[in-house]
Amino acid sequence: MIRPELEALLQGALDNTLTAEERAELARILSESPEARERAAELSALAGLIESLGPADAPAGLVDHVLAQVSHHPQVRHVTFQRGVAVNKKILFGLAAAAAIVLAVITYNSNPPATVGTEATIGAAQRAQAPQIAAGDVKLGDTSTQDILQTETFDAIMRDETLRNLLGDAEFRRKLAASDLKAALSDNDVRIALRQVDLKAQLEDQAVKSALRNSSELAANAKKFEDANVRALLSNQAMAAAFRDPHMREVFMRPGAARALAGDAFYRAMADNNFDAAMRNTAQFSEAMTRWARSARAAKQQ
Amino acid sequence: MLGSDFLTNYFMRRVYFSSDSDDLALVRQSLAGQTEAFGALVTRYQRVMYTVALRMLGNAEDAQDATQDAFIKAYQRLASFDPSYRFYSWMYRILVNECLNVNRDRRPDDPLDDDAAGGGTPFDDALAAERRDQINMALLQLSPEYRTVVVLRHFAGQSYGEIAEALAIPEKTVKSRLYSARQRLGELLLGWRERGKDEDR
Repeated sequence: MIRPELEALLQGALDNTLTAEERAELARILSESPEARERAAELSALAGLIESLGPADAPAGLVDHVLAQVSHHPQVRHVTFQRGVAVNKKILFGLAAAAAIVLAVITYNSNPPATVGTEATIGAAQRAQAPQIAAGDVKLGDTSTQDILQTETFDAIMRDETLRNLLGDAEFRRKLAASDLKAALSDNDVRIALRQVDLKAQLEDQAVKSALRNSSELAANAKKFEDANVRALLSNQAMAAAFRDPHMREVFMRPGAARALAGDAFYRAMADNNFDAAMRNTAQFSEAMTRWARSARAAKQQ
Repeated sequence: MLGSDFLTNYFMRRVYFSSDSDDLALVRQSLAGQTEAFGALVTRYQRVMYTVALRMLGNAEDAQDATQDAFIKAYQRLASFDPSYRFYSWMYRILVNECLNVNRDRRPDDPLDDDAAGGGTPFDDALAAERRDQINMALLQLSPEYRTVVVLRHFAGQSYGEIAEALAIPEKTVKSRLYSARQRLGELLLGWRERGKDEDR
């Protein structure tokens, strides 16, 4: 019988809600307990089964139908007030005046005044839970790399072995920084597609290869594919360009690469300006990765 | 090794959407009378909203109606949208309510739709269709409360917090419903033993 605490950890891992400490704890339990591994496999199989249904394409004409309907219902502007209740301006100004009086009384009587900004404290505490980077790992003057090193984002991408290998590829980093690929990989449809298709098989498929070759008619050709995920990938110009590039094609065909690039860790990294800057400075990023690996090895040996 | 695979594969399962600020800009433009801005919001979310409706209802026609009605209602109520919330959370709430209304009105013998395209051999397609039917049926056997959290989590990639926001329930409730729903789905689809059976013996 699986303990409720372990079940909560396993389900938390499935839903990506674990802290770094909890992840480490779960990894330890999984390495020691066959029962835990069996339950992890069960949950993993279940999630795979549920998600095998995949996304469905919205029916053609849905947007037009909605717009035709709403054009008969012109918008009426209201002033909004808390959780979707619309009120008129007269009432709102009355309430605002009353609130100002109450606030003035509270401010006069409160000693000391309440403080705000605890989020930063919580954020710092959360970061402190993650494995720490040694002082020597941070090089002064190397601000982009230093900034990304200090985030959980960097920690998350480094913990993913596939991502680590992909980002270890300088050419991949250079192309990621220099093309529209970053925007493409942030696109919702592309991410769903990358998670669900067997990209290697698709990129080796003759019909896909043929569609990619004919760039001028790619958009029209993409529509002919029955698989919505293939359509989503081929109709994205930056993705199509990447699939045509021999090096990027090889990168995307590596085992687990598509899922890793569609994963949350990479998505979060791409949204981080420091990561973007670090990508452009490939030598320093490479050095930072090496230092991370060294720190991780040292932490493991302790 | 299973342990590390499990952590790697499920460490970060999420589906992301366009940034909230983009949505808010489109909401403001829609409120200012630019219908095409609302069209952009519909275009942006139609696929995931339709997927949610389809998994909630198991029927393409009902799902289409529910999705369309949800967008139309959203437009009509756009002035009451609170910008401190995420647009898509608000949309999910409207959509889920639409789906629950359809469920209440539905005849019990309405057929399920097989929404997947073929592509393999007839034998493979038949097997895959049967498996999809089983999963759809299992989802529909869940209570609406359980089904909603499973669908929002697995097909819309919503976090506990986002589901809580969309359904106006505490995160703790989301988590507990999700665990129970998964247990029930495991029993229906993978033959897991019911909880408590071990202790009963």
